[in-house]
Amino acid sequence: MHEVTVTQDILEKALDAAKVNNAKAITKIRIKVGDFTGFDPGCISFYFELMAKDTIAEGAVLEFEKIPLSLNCSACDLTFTPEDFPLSFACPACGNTRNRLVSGKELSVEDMEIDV
Amino acid sequence: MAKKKIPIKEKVRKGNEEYAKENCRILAGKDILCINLMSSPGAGKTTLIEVTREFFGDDYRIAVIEGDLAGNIDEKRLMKSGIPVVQINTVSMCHLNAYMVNEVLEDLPLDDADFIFIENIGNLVCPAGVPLGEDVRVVILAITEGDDKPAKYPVIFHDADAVVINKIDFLRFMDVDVASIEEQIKAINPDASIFKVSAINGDGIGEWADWLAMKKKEKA
Repeated sequence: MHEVTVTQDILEKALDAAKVNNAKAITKIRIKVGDFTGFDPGCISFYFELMAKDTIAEGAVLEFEKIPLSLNCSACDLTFTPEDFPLSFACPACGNTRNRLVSGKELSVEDMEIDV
Repeated sequence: MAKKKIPIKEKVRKGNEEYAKENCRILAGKDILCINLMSSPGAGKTTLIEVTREFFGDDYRIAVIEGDLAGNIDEKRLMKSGIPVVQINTVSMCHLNAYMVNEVLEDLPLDDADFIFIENIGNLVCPAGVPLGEDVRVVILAITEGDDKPAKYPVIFHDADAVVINKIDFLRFMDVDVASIEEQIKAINPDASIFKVSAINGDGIGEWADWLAMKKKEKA
């Protein structure tokens, strides 16, 4: 459900960039989405199809680059992706739990392909 | 027709971030601590606000932004206690965003408030990634929801500055492992402050209120 506003934002960014570049059609949009954002690419694609109808982005393919959750241990400097479930941010090498989130919270429109 | 690839490189939800910064700017210098209060429906957000206000008495003044899909039940309820409150109705949206907060923020008596509570939409998923311009993020979890929620909804618990485990008075009726709840929180967020409270009978409210007062002093 919360993908609605995010999808709206993606569509607006794409249409704005299309206008600046005098695009006739948007054919592909590449999006980075982190695993720890709670956003589901399938859901974004579903809403996009509905929202893009009757715009020049209608039929555009959304290509997602999924970014894994990764953490950097503040004690031993190991960078690791924690086990999926149950999620624990403890370092698998030394057990330290105070670790910095390195990736997994991304959500950005990277680039797109247009017909001009 | 020619094909062309164009770079965009823009964060989604940048608009929300900008409104969140604007809300921070409005509150900066007002000596107010702003709390984004999140939980599933019925965990006790409104009751916690009421009991916190009661505990503070004349020491601190609070104001509230209420978020609900429909109606103003909580607004009317808090007005009865004399708490300044504005209600936001999101109709179908599952979380508040910084723009909605920005539209009502200055309807509150900002020069006569020490704390602003933003009561988010009851939901453990969607409010997690949407900053409103708050100083602290607090998640309430009622033990009646079971003892597995931090493991099941890690994002919202990871981002919390504090977790209030509410309805602790129900322990005598329920088989709930509170230590396990705490372990699950600490596994993803070892720095979160955890309070075990009963908003109904007042157990643990003192520690929670002291934490709020401490956070307010830290900000000043």
